[in-house]
Amino acid sequence: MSETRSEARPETRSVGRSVSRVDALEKVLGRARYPADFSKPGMCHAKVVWTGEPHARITGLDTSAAAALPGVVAVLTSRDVPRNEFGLIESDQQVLAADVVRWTGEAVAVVIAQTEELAEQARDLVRVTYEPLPLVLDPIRAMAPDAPLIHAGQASNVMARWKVRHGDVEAALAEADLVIEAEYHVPLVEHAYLQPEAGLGYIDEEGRVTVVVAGQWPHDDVRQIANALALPPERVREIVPYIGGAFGGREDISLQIMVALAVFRTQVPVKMVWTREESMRCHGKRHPFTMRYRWGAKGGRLTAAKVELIADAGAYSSSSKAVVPGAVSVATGPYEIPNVSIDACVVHTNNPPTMAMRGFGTAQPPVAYEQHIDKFARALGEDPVSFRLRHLWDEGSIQPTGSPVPPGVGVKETLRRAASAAGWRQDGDRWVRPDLPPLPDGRRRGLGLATAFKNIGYSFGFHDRSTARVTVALDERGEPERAELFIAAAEVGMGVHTVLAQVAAEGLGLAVERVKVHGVDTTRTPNAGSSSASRHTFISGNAVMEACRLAMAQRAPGKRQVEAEYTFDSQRVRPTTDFDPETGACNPHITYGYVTQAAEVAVDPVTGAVEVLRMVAAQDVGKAINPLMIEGQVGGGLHMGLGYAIMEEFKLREDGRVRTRNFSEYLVPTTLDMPADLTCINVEVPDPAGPYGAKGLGEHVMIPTAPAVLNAIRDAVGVDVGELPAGPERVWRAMEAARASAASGKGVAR
Amino acid sequence: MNPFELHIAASLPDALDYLARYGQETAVLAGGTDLVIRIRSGREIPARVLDISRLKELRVIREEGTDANPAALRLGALVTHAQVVESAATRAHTPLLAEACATIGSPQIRNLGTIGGNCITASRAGDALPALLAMDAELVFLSKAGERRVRMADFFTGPRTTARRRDELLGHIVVPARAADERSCYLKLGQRKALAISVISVAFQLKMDAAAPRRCLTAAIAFGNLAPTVIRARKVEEAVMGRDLDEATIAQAVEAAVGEVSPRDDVRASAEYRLAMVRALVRRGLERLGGAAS
Ligand SMILES: Cc1cc2nc3c(=O)[nH]c(=O)nc-3n(C[C@H](O)[C@H](O)[C@H](O)COP(=O)(O)OP(=O)(O)OC[C@H]3O[C@@H](n4cnc5c(N)ncnc54)[C@H](O)[C@@H]3O)c2cc1C
Repeated sequence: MSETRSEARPETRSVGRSVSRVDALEKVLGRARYPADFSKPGMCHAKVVWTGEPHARITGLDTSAAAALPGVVAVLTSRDVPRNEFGLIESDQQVLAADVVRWTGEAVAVVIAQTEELAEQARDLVRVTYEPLPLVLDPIRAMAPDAPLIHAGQASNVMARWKVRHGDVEAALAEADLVIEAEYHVPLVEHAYLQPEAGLGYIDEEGRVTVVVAGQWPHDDVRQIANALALPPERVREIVPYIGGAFGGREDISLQIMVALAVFRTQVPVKMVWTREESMRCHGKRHPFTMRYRWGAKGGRLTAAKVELIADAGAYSSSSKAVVPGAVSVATGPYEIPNVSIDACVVHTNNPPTMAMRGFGTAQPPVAYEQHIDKFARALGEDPVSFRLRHLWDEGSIQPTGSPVPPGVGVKETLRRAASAAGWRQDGDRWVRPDLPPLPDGRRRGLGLATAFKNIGYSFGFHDRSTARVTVALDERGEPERAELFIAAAEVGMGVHTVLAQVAAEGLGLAVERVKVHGVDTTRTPNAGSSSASRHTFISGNAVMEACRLAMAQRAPGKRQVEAEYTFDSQRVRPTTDFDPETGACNPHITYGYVTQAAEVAVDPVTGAVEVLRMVAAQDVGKAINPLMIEGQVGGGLHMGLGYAIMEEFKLREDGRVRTRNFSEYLVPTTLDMPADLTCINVEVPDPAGPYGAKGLGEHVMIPTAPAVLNAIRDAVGVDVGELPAGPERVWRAMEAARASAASGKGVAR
Repeated sequence: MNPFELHIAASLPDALDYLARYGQETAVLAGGTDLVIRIRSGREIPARVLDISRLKELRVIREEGTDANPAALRLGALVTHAQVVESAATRAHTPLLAEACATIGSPQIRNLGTIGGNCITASRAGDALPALLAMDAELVFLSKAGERRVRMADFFTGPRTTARRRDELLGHIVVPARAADERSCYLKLGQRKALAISVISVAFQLKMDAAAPRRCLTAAIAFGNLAPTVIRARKVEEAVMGRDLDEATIAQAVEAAVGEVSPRDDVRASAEYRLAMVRALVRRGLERLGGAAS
C-alpha cells in the first residue's frame, strides 16, 4: 500500500527486519507442494533396480520377466541411455550401470509401469548377476600402490593432490619450544533432509522433456540431463517446487536423469518417489577425513603448522575436486601462523561417493584445528579465549595462500561476544573462564568453544554468477507499485526467496509483500547458480540489488512498467585465483563469514553419555538481513553440528553394504537432545562488496559446533576424543584409556 | 508391500472366531508400530491382518483384589504406553512399569504402541519387558478354547519367539502391585533422549528391611538387550538378597551380573561396552535403591 510512502524513510525499511517468510503461510497451512505432491493424469510410476553390490562386474541382466508383466510399460537399462554419463565436475558416473558397479547405490535398470505396485513387482523380477571385484573401503589402504583400482585405467586411486607452502615449516618446527602432534578423524555422514528424492516428468506443451524435482542447481541439472539424453539444453526443462531440505545433498544428480529418461523413452508422464532407505543408500555423503596435525609454538606464539589431509571420495568424483580445496584453504583456521605446510589428497574407494554437504570441506578441519588450538592453550597455561585472540586474523592479515583476507573481518568480535555470553570475564588482557558449579547428579560439567570461518560463494577462479530479472509495475506518478522477481534460486528451506524479496523491496522502496518471487523454472527464471556455498544472499542479493537499480533508472514519465536483468559476476568484483601447483599461492575466496560457538556439556563419567546443556552462537554475518531467519539457521546449524559431534555416522559393513539403513539406525539428535538454552548473537562487520554489507551464514552456523562440544567434553572429563562422533561408547573408551594409563603410572596426558 | 486381507474385529468374540479359523496365517494388529514396519520391510508377510484396535474392553486398566490396596493391576493388552505412564493406578502400584514405558520411543509412539504389542514382539530390547519380568507379571491369553495364563518367566521361548499360540489373543496382563516397602527403578542406556532403542537396560524392584534400612530382603532384577531374550538376573538377585547393600555386596552383585549376560555387537554398541555398562548400571541401581531414602 502507498500510505507509508510519504513518511520519512528510515535507513532501510525491509533489510534488517524480521519480516515473516514469504513461504511461511503456505508451509504452515500444508499448501506448499514438494516434488512428491505432483501428479498428472495418465502418469506411470517408475522404480529403480539398485545394484546392492559394492564392487562387481555385471555378468548378466535379464529384464524379460519384468517386461512381460502386464501393465509394465518399459524396462530401461544402460542401452536405453543415449549418453550414459553424468557428474558435477567430471562425467564419471553412469546413469544406469552397464558393466562395473563401484558402490551399492548404483542404478542398474528403471522399471516403468501403470501403477506403483506393478512397478515394484516388476522391479523384483529383474535378474542381475555379478562377478564380485576386490573391495577397497579404507582410503589409506586404497592409496597403496598395489591396491585394486576402483577405476580401471587410472594410475592410482588417488584422484588429486594439493599442497600449500608458506614460510619454512620444518625450520620453524625445529626451533619451536612446543610441538603438538595429533591425528583426527571425521566419519561419513548423511545429509538427513526431510524429503526423500522424488520427481514427476512429462513432455510439456512445447515438447520439452520436463522434470519437477528438488535440485539445488536447476540449470546445471538441465545441462546434465540434456547431455545424457543427447538433447539440446533448450529441449529440457526443470521446475523446482519447494524442497524439503538439501544441505548439499541435492547438488548432484539423483533421480533427475532417470525420470527424464523414462519420459523421453515412453513419452508418458512418469513419477518416481524414493523410500527413505533408497535415499539413504543412493545419494552421496559428507567426506570422511583423516587429519594429521603437527604444529609448533615458540615463546607462546604459534609459529608452524604442518597439516596432512586425506579425504575419501568414495566411488566417483562428484565435487571432490572442489570440496577438498575448500578444506585445504581453511586447514589452519582463521589464525596468523607464519609457517604453514599443507598436503591433501582425495582417494577413490567403494564407499558412497562423497559430495557437497553444508560446509563444503570447511566443516572437517575445524574439528582438528580447534582441538589443536585448545591443546596449545592448555600446554601454555593460557585461557583458550586469550590464546585465540592473540592469533586470530585482523583486517589485512595474510592467509597461508599468501593473499590478504577479504575485507570485513569480524572473527575476534565473534569470539569476544560468544565468550562473554558463555560467562567468561575480561581482566585486562586476560580472559577468565567462569567456574561451573558441579551438577547434583554426579555428571561432570565442561565448557568449550570453537572459532571457525568459511568462504561465501564459489572459489579458486570460478566465476560465481547469478542473474536476476525484475519487472516493476509503476503508478501514475512513476512510483513502484509492485514487483516480480525472476531468479532460479532454489528455495531449499533456507529462506532465499524471503531474503531476495527483502533486498528487492529495499531497492524499490516497496513493502516486502509487494514483491512476488517466482518459483524456479529453467525456462522462465534465469540461472542463479546453485543453492550452496552460503552464496545467494551475497551473490544473488547483489544481482537483485543491481537489477532493481537498473529498473528504477529506466523510469520515465508515463511509463507504467520497467524491467531489468542483471548478471552479477564475482570475478569482476572480487577476483579469486586457483592454487599455484607448487606453493599453493592464490587468492582463494571471495569473502568470509566467521563464527564462534561455546558449548556447555554434562558428561556421565561412567557411561560416557554427553548432554549439551547450553550453546552460544555468535556469527559475523556482515549485515543481518532477517535476524529471525538467522536464528532459525543457527538452530538448524547447531542441530546438524551436534549430530556430527556426538551421534551421526553412516556405517558400512565389512562387505561394503549399508548398516545404517534408515533413521532408526542412523541417528540424528531429537528436539530433546538439543540444548535447552541457546543464545544467538549477530555480529555485523560489513563486507563492502556485499548487499547492504551482508555476507552469508547458512553453512557457517554448523561448523564450529562439533569442535566446541569436543572441547567441552575435554574440559569436563579430561580426555581428547579425536574421532567423531563422540558417542557414549567412544567417550567411555577414551576415559578407560586415560584411566589405564593413569593406573600404569604414565599419567593422563595433560 | 505384499497384499493381505484386513479384518477389523467388531468384538472380542469376533476376533477370537477369526483367530480360530485363520490364526496360522494372521498377524494381529494393535498399534501397528512394530507390525507395520515389519510388513513394509518384508520381514513379515502375513496373508491376513486382524485389526483389534477397536476392542475398547482391552484398553482398560483395572485394579484387582478387594482391599483398598489392590493385589494387582490388570492391564488390557491394548493399553498404550502413554496410558501406563499417565494412569494414577500404574504410577501408584506399578511404578517400575510406568517408568519403563516412559522411556519408549516418543509421545507419538507411546500414544499408539501398546503394552500387548511390546510383549508379543518380544524384542530383546523391549522396554516394558524387563519391568514386567521383574514384577512377575502374568499374561492372560484368550481363545475360543478359553483362557490360558502364562507367567512372564515362561513366556519367552527364544529370540522373538513366545509361548503364544497362533489362535490366541493376548487379552490382559496381570501385574502384581508393588508393596509399600518395595523400591524400584528402570535404568535404560540409549543413544539419545528419545526414539532410542535401549543399548542395555536394567529393571530393579527391591524390598528393603524397615528395621535395617540398607538390608535388602527380596530382589527382582531383569536385563534388557543383554541376552537373546529379556532375562531375570537370578545370580544378581541372590547376591543381594538378605544382605546389606554395602560396597562388598554391590561388588559381588556386579560380578554376578557379568556371568549372567551374553551381550552382542550391533550397530548401536559393542559387546564390550555393553558388558562394562551392565556393571555400571547394576552398581548405579543398587546404590540408588540401597540409599537410606527411597
Ligand atoms: C519409532 C519407534 C520407536 C520405538 N521405540 C521403542 C522403544 O523405545 N522401546 C520399545 O520397547 N519399543 C519401541 N518401539 C517398538 C514398538 O513401539 C513397541 O514394541 C510397541 O509396544 C508395539 O506395540 P503396538 O501396539 O504398536 O504393536 P503392533 O505393531 O500392533 O504389534 C506388535 C506385535 O504384537 C502382536 N500383537 C499385538 N497385540 C496383540 C494381541 N493383543 N494379541 C496377540 N498378538 C498381538 C502383533 O501381531 C505383532 O506381532 C518403537 C517403535 C517405533 C516405530
